[in-house]
Amino acid sequence: MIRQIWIALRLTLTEQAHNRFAMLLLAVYLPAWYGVIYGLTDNASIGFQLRAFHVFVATSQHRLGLLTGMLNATTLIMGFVALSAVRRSALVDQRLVLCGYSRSALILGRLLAFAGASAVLSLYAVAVLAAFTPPQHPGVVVAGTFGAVLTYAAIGVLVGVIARGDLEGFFVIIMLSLVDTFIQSPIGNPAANRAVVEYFPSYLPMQIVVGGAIADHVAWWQFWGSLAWAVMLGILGVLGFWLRTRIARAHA
Amino acid sequence: MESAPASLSVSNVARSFGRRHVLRDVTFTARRGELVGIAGENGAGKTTLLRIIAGLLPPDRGRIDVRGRIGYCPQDPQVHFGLTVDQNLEWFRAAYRLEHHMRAEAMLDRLAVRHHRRTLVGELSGGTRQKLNLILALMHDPEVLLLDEPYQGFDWETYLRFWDIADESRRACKVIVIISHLVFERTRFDTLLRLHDGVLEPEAGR
Repeated sequence: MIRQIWIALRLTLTEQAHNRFAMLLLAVYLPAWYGVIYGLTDNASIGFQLRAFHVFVATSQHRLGLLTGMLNATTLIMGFVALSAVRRSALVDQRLVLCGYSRSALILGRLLAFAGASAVLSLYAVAVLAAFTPPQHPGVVVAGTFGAVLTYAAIGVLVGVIARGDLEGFFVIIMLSLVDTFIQSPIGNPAANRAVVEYFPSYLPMQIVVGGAIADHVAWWQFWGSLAWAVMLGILGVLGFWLRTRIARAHA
Repeated sequence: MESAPASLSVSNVARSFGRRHVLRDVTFTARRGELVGIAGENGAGKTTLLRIIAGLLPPDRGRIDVRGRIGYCPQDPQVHFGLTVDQNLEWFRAAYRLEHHMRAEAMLDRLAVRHHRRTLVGELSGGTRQKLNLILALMHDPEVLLLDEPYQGFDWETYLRFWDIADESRRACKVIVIISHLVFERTRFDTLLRLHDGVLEPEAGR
């Protein structure tokens, strides 16, 4: 069982590393996106409400735009990677289970791989961000990004098992990420301070990321809260994955 | 290794998808050392039948008795396209809980796949992917071989090598079921059946 979990984890990560489009997004799209946002925004001051502390912090549009852009790009990339991995392995996963692979080991290994990839992606995104605007507390920003990215890994798995086609799945991921992260930023959404934004998955990650990047305000319960989104959606995704890999009769 | 002789018995199997009755009443047996061919037109339900025998799909009614380990080769290569040939073998070695790759190694040589072992499957030709698909089904030396269109995409040499492997398996007293919409050489089969209108009937001309 442990060996099967390890093999599923290692080979899922290897397959993700072989996903050239995802690697291209990381190497080119992410820094280019930061550059575009930096070019489109200016140094004008803007306020962002840290709701856990009931305070407004002032920052530049450059910084806030980059932080929003980072969450948008990373959630999009991870959602795409998870969706693509789940859809591409659909039939072979069922074949593996038929051939004797433990379904629990397969699912656990794949989930651990997505968590690992989410951590690496968060670290990388914050490292590239630092070239544009060094965060005050990089570790906090990584943690906030990780919560958002992990949530979108879970969304990618869930959409991957229920979407009828690849295009529909990609459209859902793109729209979710776009709307979810866009409404958190007062640059694009003047109503970002309204309570309704709290009900979106990127709300807590955005609060953590901004608190850690431009202030000294960190409410760690928000980190656990952001993971709760990932766990909740992840459970639904696992349920779908479990149903999808079911077989009528295992081989002896 | 299994000591009981391999055998396969399919009794009164039926399966519908909505109002479409794909399999109405399918019955046949295959004994050790027997090579059974099942032909039929596209959409006749051949793949559904093999998926039921393999254990992927439950029948609506009927009974399947299989003695021996199954080796199931699906029609389309169900492999990880983003991994190399070696990495695919590693997945299935873990699934079959094999201690070694000896049989897979021998088949890599036999089907001329060895020089592709570090190539990503997504970069291989359709025929080579199908070879890998077949190796993954046979690498644990199963007693009951269920092969769905196993030689599609093969060149002539590989087609002949496939039949060498099938004949060896027959001599080793295994049960082999091959389904195909095109059966070129009827004499290669011990029993040839045709799936028509949801039931199996003897193939005309035999």
